[in-house]
Amino acid sequence: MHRPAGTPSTGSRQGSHAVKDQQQGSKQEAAGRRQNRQRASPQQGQPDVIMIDSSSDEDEAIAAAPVVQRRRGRPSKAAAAVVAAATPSRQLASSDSEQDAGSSSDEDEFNTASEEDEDVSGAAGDAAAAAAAASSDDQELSSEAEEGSGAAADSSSEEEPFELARGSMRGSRRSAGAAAAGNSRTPKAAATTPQHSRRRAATAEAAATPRSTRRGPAAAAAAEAATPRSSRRAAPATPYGRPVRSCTKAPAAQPSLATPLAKLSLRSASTPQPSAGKQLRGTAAAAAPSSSKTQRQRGGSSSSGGASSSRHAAVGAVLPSVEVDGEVFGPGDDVYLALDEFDNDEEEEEACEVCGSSSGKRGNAILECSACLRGFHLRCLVPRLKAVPDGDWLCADCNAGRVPPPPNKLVTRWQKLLYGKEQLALVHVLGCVRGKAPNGTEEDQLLVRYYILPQETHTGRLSSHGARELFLGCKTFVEPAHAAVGRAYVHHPQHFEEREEEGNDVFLCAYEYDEDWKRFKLRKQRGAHGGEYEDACPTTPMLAGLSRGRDDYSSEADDSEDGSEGGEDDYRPDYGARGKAAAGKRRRGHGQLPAALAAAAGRFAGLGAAELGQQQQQLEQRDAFARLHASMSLACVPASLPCRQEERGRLQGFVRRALHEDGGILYICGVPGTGKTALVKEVLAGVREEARAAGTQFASINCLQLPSPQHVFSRLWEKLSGQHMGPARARDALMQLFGVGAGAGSSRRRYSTIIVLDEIDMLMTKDQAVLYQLFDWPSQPGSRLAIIGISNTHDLDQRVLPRIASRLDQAKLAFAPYAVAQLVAIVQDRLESSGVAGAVEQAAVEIACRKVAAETGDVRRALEMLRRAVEIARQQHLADLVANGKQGVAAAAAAAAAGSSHRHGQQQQQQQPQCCEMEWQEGQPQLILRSHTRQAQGEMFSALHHQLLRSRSCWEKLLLVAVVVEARATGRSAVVMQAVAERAANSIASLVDLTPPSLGVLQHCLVRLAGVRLLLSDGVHVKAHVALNVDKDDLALAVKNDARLARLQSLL
Amino acid sequence: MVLQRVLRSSMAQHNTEPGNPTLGAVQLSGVLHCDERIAFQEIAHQLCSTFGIPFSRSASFDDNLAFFKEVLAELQRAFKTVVFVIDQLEAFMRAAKQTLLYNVLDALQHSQVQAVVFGVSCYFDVQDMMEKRVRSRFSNRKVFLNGLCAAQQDAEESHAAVLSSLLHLPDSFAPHEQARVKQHNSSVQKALASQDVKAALQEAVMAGITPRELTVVALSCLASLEGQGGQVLGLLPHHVAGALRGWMQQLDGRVPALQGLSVLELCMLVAAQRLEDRGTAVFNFEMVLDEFMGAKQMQLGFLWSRSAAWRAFRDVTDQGLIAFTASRPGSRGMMQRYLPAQLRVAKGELQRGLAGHSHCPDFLTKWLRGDALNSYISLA
Repeated sequence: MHRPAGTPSTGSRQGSHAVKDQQQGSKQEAAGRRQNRQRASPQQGQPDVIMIDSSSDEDEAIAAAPVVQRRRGRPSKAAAAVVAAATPSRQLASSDSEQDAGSSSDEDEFNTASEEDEDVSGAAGDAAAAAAAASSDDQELSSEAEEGSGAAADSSSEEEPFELARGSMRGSRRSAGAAAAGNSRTPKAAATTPQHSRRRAATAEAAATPRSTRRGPAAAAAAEAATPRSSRRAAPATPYGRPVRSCTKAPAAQPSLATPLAKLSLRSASTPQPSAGKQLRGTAAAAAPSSSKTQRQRGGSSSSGGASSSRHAAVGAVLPSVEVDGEVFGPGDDVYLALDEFDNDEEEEEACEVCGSSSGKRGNAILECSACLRGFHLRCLVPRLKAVPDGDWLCADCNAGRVPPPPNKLVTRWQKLLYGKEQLALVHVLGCVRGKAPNGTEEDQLLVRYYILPQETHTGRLSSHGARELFLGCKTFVEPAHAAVGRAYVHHPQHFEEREEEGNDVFLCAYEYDEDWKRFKLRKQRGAHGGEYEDACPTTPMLAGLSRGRDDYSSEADDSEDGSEGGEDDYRPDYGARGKAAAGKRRRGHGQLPAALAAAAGRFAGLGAAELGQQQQQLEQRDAFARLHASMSLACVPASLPCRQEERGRLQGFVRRALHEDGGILYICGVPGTGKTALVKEVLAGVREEARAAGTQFASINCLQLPSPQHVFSRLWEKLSGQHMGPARARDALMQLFGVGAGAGSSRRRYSTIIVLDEIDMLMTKDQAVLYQLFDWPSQPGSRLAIIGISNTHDLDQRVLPRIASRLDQAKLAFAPYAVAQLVAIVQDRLESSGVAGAVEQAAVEIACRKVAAETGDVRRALEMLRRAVEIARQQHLADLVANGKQGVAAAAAAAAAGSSHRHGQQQQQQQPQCCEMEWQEGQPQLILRSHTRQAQGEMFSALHHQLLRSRSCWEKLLLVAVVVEARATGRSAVVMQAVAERAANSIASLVDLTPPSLGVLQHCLVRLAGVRLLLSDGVHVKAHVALNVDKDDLALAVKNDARLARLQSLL
Repeated sequence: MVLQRVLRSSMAQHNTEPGNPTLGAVQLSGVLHCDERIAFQEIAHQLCSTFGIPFSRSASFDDNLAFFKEVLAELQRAFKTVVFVIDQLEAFMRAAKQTLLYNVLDALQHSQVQAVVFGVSCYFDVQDMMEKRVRSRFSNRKVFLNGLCAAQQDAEESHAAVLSSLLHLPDSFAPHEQARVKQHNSSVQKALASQDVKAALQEAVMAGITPRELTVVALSCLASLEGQGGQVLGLLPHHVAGALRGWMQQLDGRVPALQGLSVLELCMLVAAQRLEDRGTAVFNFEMVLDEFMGAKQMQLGFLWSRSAAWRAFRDVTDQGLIAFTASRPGSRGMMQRYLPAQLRVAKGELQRGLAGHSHCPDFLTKWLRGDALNSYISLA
């Protein structure tokens, strides 16, 4: 078991960072989501989000929320609610408001107005309004709740704000539940016990989110059915936000219950009295007896086990480990969680399938089938076995190839996990925190990720899956620690083989599984020695939270690229001994790098809060220049792509068709920098929800990142199914999936698949077999496969063989280079998003765009040029300031100039933001002028060789002239060095009254010129062939400027 | 060098905490890592050692690529920056797909990544060699480092200034012997101011001399310092001028080489030169020997066997004055005699070499001039 290093006190300190960061992650996410809703593309807010991301203390957190709001241009109701929630003095009022929010959303659902709490403050009213708004879509409120909890958790000694956050969570959940009820089935359905509605929601969700529905409360699960995207995002957003207690579920799932009752209980819950929690529990129990029973049971264990471990720990603190019923769990452990009422008292032996008894006497041991894991007494078997056989043994069912029935009695934990229905779950503990239970008591909570059974993935259980194989889910949840019932051991396949004998609670996990996108990703493994996996330190959940925050609002294609990082795996399930040996050989190479990453993750996070704060301040202090600069950067992805309407329409049509009907091939071509990949990403992101509903698989591959064209099959298969195979085998498997084997018109595949192949022209091989295969599949009946190929080459369909071309000509989408107007529109759009668009002269943009449009139409180039213009303008601005002799500014500039020593450098760092801090406002003179663009343009397109030629020495220029003359005399472009030298010595040097240089000197010149490629030569010896690599006129210009050689100009 | 300095200063600025660097540098050289697999391995290796991650040597190309991306994303999360310095950028252009550049530059486009790429190259047209995809991602920032330029004699950048700063002793040098330091510095100034040195420097500048070559010159100046009984005479003008001239002379290395050759070797060269004059620029040993034998019949006294001539021919090729044009001549054994070869010496140089040779027979010079040897024989 891996424990975080350091004393408990440092642990808790780090932990508070971690918690903050999670909140920040959730905030980002909230921002991202809000934005998603407003604009089509989700990535837009990146720079802003980064600003918030590093906010380190409460004030900033509070301040950041309105900022986000304002940036988005949303009415700041939600922000008001957040502020209210975060201000301790107004807690009561706002707690009311939160309850109000919750209830009002219900009432909204049933068309009753929410006017109860007239006496609450204005803030409360705001919150209520926000909640009302959120009832139509619940993201807003949940995000507020997260922000509220973020603010609250920092003031960890005070419990009330935290409670408020809880309250708001509840409100959001309730609204979600209500929405779900309203949307999916009758309101009555939601009024049934949460268990049932959860089940139903789970069944409605089918294979999409196997694990999250399990323990997930009705609200989240039902909301998934209703608004899949939003609430699924909401669920993992904040650990606190994850509803874990049945008492939170109870009110959430019964909107039709009398609201006063719920409100009463909620209000009392918000006061920090333990009795209130009991009261609430009572109401919950009345509504849902079954769930409250479990809850009570667990509550009991919590008070006995959890409290003993660290009673003194503050809320929100990160604990190194928690102790439950005498067992200690810490980060990195794998733990069983009770999902349902579950008898945990005795750990029984597994029972024989035939006789049902579990007694294992000598000579009558229970033998376990290695495929289905069922146990049989040796003597109960037909025919009897005398002794335990060596090696693997298969039971009669498995031997015959039948699907074995589940065990008769589920006794042991692992049986319950593998065969039970929602009884037990296996989780991977990321960290432990001291959190607040929804009823107001403190409890230890675990940040966990669920393991997913193979049959819950979209592929179902394949023959290649081991009996004890699991997949790690991608989402993080918070669960109360007392739900943990025991320890299990999940190993990487490599170690699984070694440790299989250790006990029954040993499992195997090689992949992470992303339920949303049905993708597998190789699990990161912590060093080969440990056998334990990643993230033993409390900072990792923070990182995980951050990364998830990013992923969530990054677009689909980005997501899929994340997936592509998974690399290769080293686990080959069904290989024979030879295959295993081969895999073992490769293993050393694999796994270690990802493991190294995991190890590094902790180290990277070593920036303290102080530094984060600094970073944030620096970011906050970005002036107009910096913002312009950032908006021009290539990494900044705009909210939406202007122009390309026609192409967008076609692409959307294609994708839609691929989602719902049959796929096809779309071939997108165009010169670089015309937005091909960006548009595909955007369109795919746009249809995301639709795709989720339709259960579509996505895979995206950049063909330039493949070792060889054939590897495209490997990569594809790995992405679609999570197994790694060689190219040939993967091709066969894919063929089974899409091709002739699966089809024959009999059975259409249940879901469609969209594959995006970037830089597809890299797949060209001599016989073009790869392309042919790829393009053949979509045309198979029932394959439901769509391929989008992106490429630079317009003529791919002409270069390929006719049989491929015939499959290609269905759809070719050509992206013409951008015209001037389009470039201007794009740039303006980006400028608008930076908020200081007025600071840029219109003409400045136009110049740049015109120039680029005339040349390539590459938008990257235009942006780059303008970025440079911003830099130039900023430099000039600084210089002006210095010239004006402002106090301090000059000193800073001097420091910048001198800044070689370390101390100076720091000074400079500090003063730089001050001196260039200049907030641009409307009406002020424009900052970026035409001249700046001109200058940038000059730099970008200036021919370097002018400068280079000018700085050549006398003899070098002479040699260049001689080459020109000799080339003209011989009529060839490449001339022999010796002849050139002769000509230089005999005819040319005499023209300029200099003693001719010796051959050796000229050769020295040749070496230098060839070094900078002004001359092209195949050697430097006297018989080398040399040719001029620059224009003659440029040379003439350089010669003219040299006083001594001016006469030579006549020769050119 | 400028880049290294900038990097070092910015590293000093940002890497306040030893062992936990904020700014990491990855340096690649096109000469060393032009194979892309090796390059990616090297990237991974350097990233690992910079940020203290265990490195796996046997990871495949694919792994390294994935690792590279992941590390970048991870670093961004921790507010750390990587600087990639790609020296000899042009070498990476030669790879067919330019995968390395594409992947590195493409990674920069991701919003998660905070990194800088510097490409260093001597070629001014390196941008034109990029593949279009790569060029589109390239940011078009160019910093041109001007070499020492003859045109700008004013500022500190001139050759004389560089040379003097190389020869000057800094004030902080040997604090207890300030007088000597001053004496040396003044002598350096005097020496550099003399006409002789200026003329020599001008010659070198006309040929083009780089700072690095100037340091070589300065070193040879110091080497020629001579002392007398513990008293070091100052740097004299002839020291500096001599060093500069010496540098110029080594450019013309072939004439002294010719002067050291034996007569038979010279004969070979002259025969080859005559062949070339007659229009056969590419020849083999047998042709040279024929030519030589033809001349030999007319002259008396010298008789060399065929093997001796072959040996002389080999010596000349070893010196690089004649070179085989075919590839891998060493592997051809006896066939070498029939391999095509080329003269790598100009006629003027040959003449000067013969003129300066200590015991060059007279007939060779004449033969080279193309005089009929008959007349020589008749004279004899």
